[in-house]
Formats: sequence, C-alpha cells, structure tokens
Amino acid sequence: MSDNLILSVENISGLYGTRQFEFKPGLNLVTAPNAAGKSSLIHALQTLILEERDLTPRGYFLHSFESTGRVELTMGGRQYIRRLRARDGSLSVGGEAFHPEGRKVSLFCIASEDNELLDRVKTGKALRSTLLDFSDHRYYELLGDFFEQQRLRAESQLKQYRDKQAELELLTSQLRKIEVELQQLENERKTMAAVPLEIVVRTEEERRRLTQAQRDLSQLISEITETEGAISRSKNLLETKRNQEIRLQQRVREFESQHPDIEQEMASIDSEIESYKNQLDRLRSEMNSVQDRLQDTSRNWTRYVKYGIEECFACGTPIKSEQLRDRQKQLEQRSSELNNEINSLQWRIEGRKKERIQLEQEWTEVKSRIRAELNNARRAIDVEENSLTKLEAKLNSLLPRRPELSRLVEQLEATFDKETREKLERRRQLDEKIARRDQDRKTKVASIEQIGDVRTQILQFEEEIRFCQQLKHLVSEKAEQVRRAVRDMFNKRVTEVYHLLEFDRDFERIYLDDGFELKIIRRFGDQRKPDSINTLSRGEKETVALVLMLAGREAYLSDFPFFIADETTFYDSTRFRRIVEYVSKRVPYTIITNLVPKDKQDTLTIEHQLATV
Amino acid sequence: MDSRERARPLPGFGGDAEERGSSEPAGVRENRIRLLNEVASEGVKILKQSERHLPDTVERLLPSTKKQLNDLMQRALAQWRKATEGVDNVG
Repeated sequence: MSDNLILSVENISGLYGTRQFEFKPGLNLVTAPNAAGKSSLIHALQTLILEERDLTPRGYFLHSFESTGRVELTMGGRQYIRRLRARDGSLSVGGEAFHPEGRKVSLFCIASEDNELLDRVKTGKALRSTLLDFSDHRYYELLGDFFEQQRLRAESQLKQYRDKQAELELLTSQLRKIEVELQQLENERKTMAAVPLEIVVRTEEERRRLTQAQRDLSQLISEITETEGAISRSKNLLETKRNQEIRLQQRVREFESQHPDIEQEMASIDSEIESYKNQLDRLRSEMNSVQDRLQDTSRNWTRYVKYGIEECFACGTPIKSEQLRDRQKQLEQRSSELNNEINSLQWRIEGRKKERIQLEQEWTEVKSRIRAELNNARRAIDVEENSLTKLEAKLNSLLPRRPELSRLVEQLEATFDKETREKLERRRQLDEKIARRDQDRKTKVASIEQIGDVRTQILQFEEEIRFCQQLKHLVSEKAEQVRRAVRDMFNKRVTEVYHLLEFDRDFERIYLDDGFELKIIRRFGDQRKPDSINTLSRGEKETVALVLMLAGREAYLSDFPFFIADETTFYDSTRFRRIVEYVSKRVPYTIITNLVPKDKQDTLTIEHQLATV
Repeated sequence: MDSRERARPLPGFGGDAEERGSSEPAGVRENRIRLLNEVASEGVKILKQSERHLPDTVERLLPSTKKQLNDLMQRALAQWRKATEGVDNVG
C-alpha cells in the first residue's frame, strides 16, 4: 500500500472541474504563480477538515459558478469524502470531517491567511479567547453564568417571600392590637351596671313608640315637601299653557280682523287678475298688428331704397318715401309703448298671484295648525287644572296631621327615661363596637391564614442561594485553574520549541502573561529587558505565531498527519527554513505553498522532498 | 477528577467553615463538596453535548440545554438538602 496521499478536488474555490494532486511523506513544496490554485488547494484541505458550522459562513469554498463541489482524500487505503452544495443561498455540507476537531486543526496546523492565531499575533492582540476556546474554560464560564442567573432568580423569589413575611408580621401585629382592644371592650361590657328587665322592656317600648312617631313625622314632612313641590311645578306648567293659549287666540283674532271676509277677498283678487289678463290679451293683439304693419313698411322701404319704387308692394297704392319713414317711426314708437304696458301688466298679475297664494297659506295655517295647537293647549290646561286640584286637596289633608304628630313626638320625648335610654344606648354602641372588632379580627386571621407559613420557603430559597453561590464559586475556581493550566502549557511548549529551533539567542523568553498577551524578554549580551510583542518586526511576529501554532499542535494534535503553510514567501527565510526542518521531522506530511513569478513558471507543481528543504 | 480533588475543601466554603470552628460533621462536608464537583462535572458534560449550538452567553443557550442544566441543579439541590438536614451550619 502506497504512503502517498491522493487529493481529488472538484469545483472547490478557484479549482474548476476535477483536479487531482499527490502528496508524499515529508515535505511537499507547492509552487505556482498568482491565481494558479495554491490557496484553492489549501481551501480544499480545509474543506476536508473544518466542521460544517465553520465551512458554511465562508462562501469561497465552493466555486463561484458551480452549485456542487467535492473533495476526496485517499490516505493509507482509506477514503475521506466531503461534498458541498449551494442551496437557497446557503451552503450545505455532506460527509464526515477528516478530523473531529476541525477548528483546532485549522488553528494549529494550517498557517494560512485566515488563521486567527497568526492574525492576532501579527496585530498584537491578546490570545485569551483564541486559546481558551479549546479548553473546558468556556464551559466553566458558561456554567458560572448559569448558576449566577439561578441565584438571581432565587433571590428575586426570596424577596417576594420576604415581602410576604413582612406583610404577615404587620398583620400579626395588627391582630394582636385588635385582640387587646377586644378584650378591653368585653371587660367594659361586663362591668356595665345591669338594668332591671321590666325597665328595659318599658324603655324599649317607649323607644320603639318614639322612634315610630319620629319616623312618621319625618315621613309626613317629606310628603308635604314633595306635594308642595309638585303643586309649584303644576302651577308653572299651567301658566305656560295658558300663555300659549292666549298667544294662539291673539294670532287668530289678528288674522280675522285683517281679513274679515277672506273668501270675498280672494274672489276679488281672482277677478282683478282676470281683468288684467284680458287687458294683456288686447295689448298683445295690438302688438301683433303693429309688428305686421312695421314689417310691411320695412319691406316697402327696402323696395324704395333698392329699386326706387314708391308704392305698396301689397296693394299697389302709391306711397311717398317721406310718408314711409314717418309711418315706420310711428309704428316703432307704438310698439315700444305696447311693450312697456305689457311688461307692467305682467308684473302686476304676478304680484297679485303671489299675494293670493300667501293669503291662502296664512288662511290654511290659521284654520288647521293654530286651531289644533289651541285645542291641545286647552286640553293640557284642563288636565293640569285637575291634577293641581288633587294635589292641593292632598296637601290640605296632610297639613293638619303635622302639628298632631309633632305634639306626639314632643310628648313622647318628654316622658322618655333619658338616663336609662343613654345607658342602653351606650350598651348597644358597645355591642356594635365589639361585633365590628370581632369581624376585624376574623378578617385578619383569614388574611394570615391565606399567606400561610412562608418561613419554610424563605429557608429553602436562602439555601438555594447559598447552593448557587458555592457552585458559582467552584466553577469559577475551575475556570481559573484551566486558564492557568492552558497558559502554563503554552508557555512551556513555546519555550521548548524556541529552544529546539535555537531562536533563544535573541530572546531570553517569549511567554503569555495572565491576560494571555504575548510578552518577550529580550537578551542583549548579559542584559535582559522585558518588551511587548508589538516591538518585533513582521517577520519575527510571524515566527512567534508559527511557534505558538507548533506548541498548540504538540499539545493538542501531536498525531495529526499534516502541517500546512500557505504563501511562505513572506516569512523570514532563515527562520522559516528551521521551522520547516523541525516540522518535517515531526509531521508525516508537510505542505508548503510558495509564489513564483509567472515568467519562471506558469502552472502549479508539487515538488517532494524527504524531511529536508 | 481524582479523589483528592473531590475531598479538598473549597476556598470560602469547607475551609472557611472549618476555620470558623463549624460543628458540621466532616462526612457531611465531604458529601457536599463531592456533590458540588459532580454538578460541575455533569454541567460540563451537558454543555459539551450541545457543543454545536454553544453560544457565548448563557441567555442564548438552547432551551433544551437550559432545561437539562436546571434539572441537574434541582436534583443536586434536593440531595444537598437531604445531606444537610439537621445540620445547622451549612457553610
């Protein structure tokens, strides 16, 4: 069985169609000019390794113009296949990942442009979240937050129960006060002097009679007041109705005085209108005749002007032009006069017609509506007069009873045993007070019972809060332990790798501080000086980042068979050479991509070497 | 988790109680520490099971994960109460 790896790629990233690559144990140096597929090859390897959730957000894994893609790796007789499919604007991934911890692999074994660790080291950012993400630290932190949330919930519930307890204490204190007061009232009631039964009975009878008489008097007074009010209202209404009747009668009288014989008046207007109409007919007839004659004259005048003929066109009678002109003037004047007279006469006829209509309307109104209103008003007056008579009779029957009842009340009050009455009244009031207080006591007891015993719940919530606090404390402590362990592990590995690479000539130490910020201690002869990572050159930072990656790989993925570095042209060549030698001795397959100018090489090639550069 | 860690009193918890001269029996204290450690360990397991949907904040945990954690806590609380019944000083 061959140890070579066969990578078959279809429509991944910039690699269109199906392409096949072969990697051999040791160093595989991929060289190509720009846009020849170096980074796409790295993307194909990432497609095999990354988890679905890390693949889907990155749109560049699938070829832009294809909806399906595939990567297949044959290694040691086994096949690993990953399929990509673009669907509804998102990417779905099929097949198992090559390694169960793809994110860790991507971070510690693939030095590409999108490696978060490289990016953070180059930009001088702290590595806390990046490195702790692979430990149990985040679980402990989440758990700590969860227990804190539970504690807050329990505290909120505890507060509610404590409020209830406060309410309960208040109610209990009020109940005690009521009970003390009730005891005092009952004692007072017991010490009250006894009254003989016959006196109680007699006083009670007197009291009953007096109360009855007072009630009757009060009722009578109320009835009298009510009747007086009704009489007053009835009188007002009667006056209004009478005034209305007077106004209506006055209106009828006025009309009758203005028009003593309405029918004759209307006949006279009709006759006048008829006479005007006759006159109008006559005038119109004359007007027609004048118009005919004027037309004849006009024709004769036209004949004279046009042909010089001085005779009538109808009868042939000779007629002079001067005569024609005079006749025409006379006829025109008469026509104008007739027109004025006709207009004047028409205006008069219209005026009289309107007068007649108005008169007829007024007459109709007086005959029907006003008379109907008058009748209604009269009927209402009759009804109201009857009602008033009855009310006055009632008042007259009530009024004499008032002095009688007043006298009776005075009489009963005068004979009533006031001392006994007061004594009994006090006793009655005391009984009422005791009953009220007893009712208050019962209400408070019911409220207390309703709230119930909250002490148990309070104790339980207090216990839950303590439990949550201790859990939170425990997981925070564990998170801290993990954080320290991760940092210490990285620091130890980094130092080891640095030493093996013999990079510790310039730096005494490179380490992560408490906040996971990278620090260095420079060495200059015998001198040592702590410094920030930001003081390093770009090449030095990249070297440090690669060392960190190798430290992570040693710690977490020592069995993983690849180490991949993309676009190595930018690394410090001397240091990078040592790193590659170091990696090639520890990792079965090292894949390095390198840019070459297009004039030297125009396609992608893979050169294999055995553990040396 | 090894047995030494389980038995070790937590800072501000068993240790403090001891310093205060607690009358709590040693067995009860050890039981409680063991219980707390078990809850932490089980909690981590639950979160690891929902690894694919694990958010940054507890508010965004899946309802099913929250329920599992809550059930775990309530079960442990019941045991805690049982273990501390009749003991006055519970830390």
